[in-house]
Amino acid sequence: MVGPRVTLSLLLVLASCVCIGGVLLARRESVEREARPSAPLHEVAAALRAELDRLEDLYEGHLRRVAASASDSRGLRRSAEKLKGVRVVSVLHTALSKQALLPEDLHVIIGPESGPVPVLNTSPAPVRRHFQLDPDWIPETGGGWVDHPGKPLLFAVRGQAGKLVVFTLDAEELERAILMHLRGQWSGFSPILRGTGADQLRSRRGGIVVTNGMPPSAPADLQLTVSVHLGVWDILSWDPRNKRIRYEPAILAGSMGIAVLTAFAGLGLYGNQRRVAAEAAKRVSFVNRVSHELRTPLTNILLHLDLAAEAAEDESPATLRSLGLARDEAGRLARLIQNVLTFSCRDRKPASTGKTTGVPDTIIRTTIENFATAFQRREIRWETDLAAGCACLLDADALAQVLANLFSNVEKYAPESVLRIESRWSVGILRIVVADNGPGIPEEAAERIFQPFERLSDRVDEGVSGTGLGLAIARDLAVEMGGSLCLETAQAGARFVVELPAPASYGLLPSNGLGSEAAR
Amino acid sequence: MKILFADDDPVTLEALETCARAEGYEPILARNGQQALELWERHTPDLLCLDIMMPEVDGYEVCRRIRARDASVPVLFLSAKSEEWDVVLGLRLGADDFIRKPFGKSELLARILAALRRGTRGPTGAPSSGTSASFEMGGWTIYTRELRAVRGPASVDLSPREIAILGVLHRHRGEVVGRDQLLNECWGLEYYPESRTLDQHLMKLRRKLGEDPASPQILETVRGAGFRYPR
Repeated sequence: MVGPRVTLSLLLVLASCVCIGGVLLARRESVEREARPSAPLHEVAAALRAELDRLEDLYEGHLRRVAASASDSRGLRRSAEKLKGVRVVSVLHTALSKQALLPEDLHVIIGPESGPVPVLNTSPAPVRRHFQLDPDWIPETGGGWVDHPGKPLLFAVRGQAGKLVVFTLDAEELERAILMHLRGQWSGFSPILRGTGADQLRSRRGGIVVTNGMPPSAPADLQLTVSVHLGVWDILSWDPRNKRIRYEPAILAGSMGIAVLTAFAGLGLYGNQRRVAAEAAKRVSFVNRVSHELRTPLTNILLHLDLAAEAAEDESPATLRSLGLARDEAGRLARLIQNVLTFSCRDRKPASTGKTTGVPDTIIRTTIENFATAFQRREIRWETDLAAGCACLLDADALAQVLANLFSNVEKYAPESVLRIESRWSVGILRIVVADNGPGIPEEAAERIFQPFERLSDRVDEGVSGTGLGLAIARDLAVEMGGSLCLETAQAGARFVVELPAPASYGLLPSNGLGSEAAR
Repeated sequence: MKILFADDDPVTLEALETCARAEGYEPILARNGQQALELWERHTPDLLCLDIMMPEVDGYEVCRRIRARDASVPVLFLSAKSEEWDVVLGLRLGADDFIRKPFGKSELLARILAALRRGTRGPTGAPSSGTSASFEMGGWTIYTRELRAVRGPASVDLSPREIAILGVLHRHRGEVVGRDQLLNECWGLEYYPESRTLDQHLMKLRRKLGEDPASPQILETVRGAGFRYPR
């Protein structure tokens, strides 16, 4: 049976689970964006555009000066190498001067790496990699930037007599140079550091100039793009997010209500179980007290009956028989009290530790002696084959109680039978067989008889009394001693076998010479 | 042999006294723990039987105090307290045995004998013949201190009274010992047992020693005169 504390604990845990579950179910979490003013970012974008325009104008001026100074390839190379991002300087001639013999195109490769070189329709195709340049892409007056999809970034300067000086530029290198410039020498981005949220200035290619705050992986709330020939730059801004938690009152109230009810139910059950347990304990305690109180007067009765029986040996057979009967009944009462006490204690009894030194055969003989007159009266003959005369470590009282309960069974149910008791001891195991040739026990009842209050027949008019506790207690005691008690199948009668661990205590003692007694 | 019985129940005490005296022990009676301690000091008994629940000083305390001064005297608890914890506590305090009430005379005497025997036995369990007084009778060796008779593998427990009867017959081997002489020598001059008491003891002795009535080896009845241990 589950104890009151276990029930209370289970229900309190259940109430806690309901409570926690209700809170989780009622919880609603939302994220709200706190929009920041975008004006500072627009200001930064304007400042960035101004700066990039300035840089582009500056770079364009440098390119035009190089183009103007183009007289030969050596001079071109010398001038162009000073500029970042220039890969090839090509001097091309357009069809406008077709009357004259067109001079050969000139390509000055700058740096160890070189991409394809531009060629015009009219030019003879060079051996190296090249791409077609349509002169219409080039602004009419003075030339300018050629940023055509699929083609490298070009800057062309128109010269006299259809001459074109075309700079093939490395856009990535130019962007890197601007990135370094913006990182180190430009402070125009600082105003947007104020406030919460996150901001970032980066090139479209991924180069980051500056980051404020911790940009989330989500897309930016505001993106301002500044695009010039020298690259595309993005200003990204993420507004701050505020997490808001609220609870659904209905769910919360419902779950709390259920939890409180569960907890109260637990407390109620606990109180009830405690009350029931206390009443049961009172009953058990009462039985124990009464049983204890019975023991002393019963001892006096037994002792004085023994003394009276000795003193009355010359009395009439009727007197002796009455004394014998009184002695047997007192003995039966003693066993009954012991069984009631054992049964009432069995739920709270710890594992048996009452092992002392005892000689199994002596215990068997003493127990038989206690039943001698009762057996004689019921015309039960007994014979023994005892071979466990060594001193063992065992709970002698418990073994005596087991045997007394088995003998009591024979006395009640197998009158006029022959009882045979065998004992064997080997390697620390004691085996005792109590067998009779009485009516026996049906096979289907072989286990049931070891249940408390189980009797083969409950009829009171059969002349057999009993509480139905004897065999249950006998088995409990055998199990508590670490052994077993079972009913073995026999050709006739009942055959109980007790097996117990019984280690030798201090060597073998001789038995008292009655190891195999004659049948009486 | 002196046995100190301590119990607050006078009826129990009376029964214990009668049982012990009938077997030849000398009972000393105490009504409470304090009296038990005083009588133990005065008489130094060979064995103590203590109830647990006694006024003034309980049985556990008596056992504890006695064990502090004498580790060898056998102590038995006779108690209605029979829960395992009571038994374990008693044994831990140094008691030799714990007899749960209710008990009968034969169980009481058997346990007293066993405790006395353990007190005089060597570690192997065999009688310590080197220090023991013994004599031979009809194939049996009678160990007077161990209170037992041994013949081959067989061993039987004897009470002091039975040892005394055998001792008298042994000393007068071949002679007829009269009933009065046996009673005087075994029960003492101050004690007058009923006449059948002697017969009961002799009958028990014959049964224990396996005497054949047709050809007795130890206890021969000489009709009208007494008894004789034949040569």
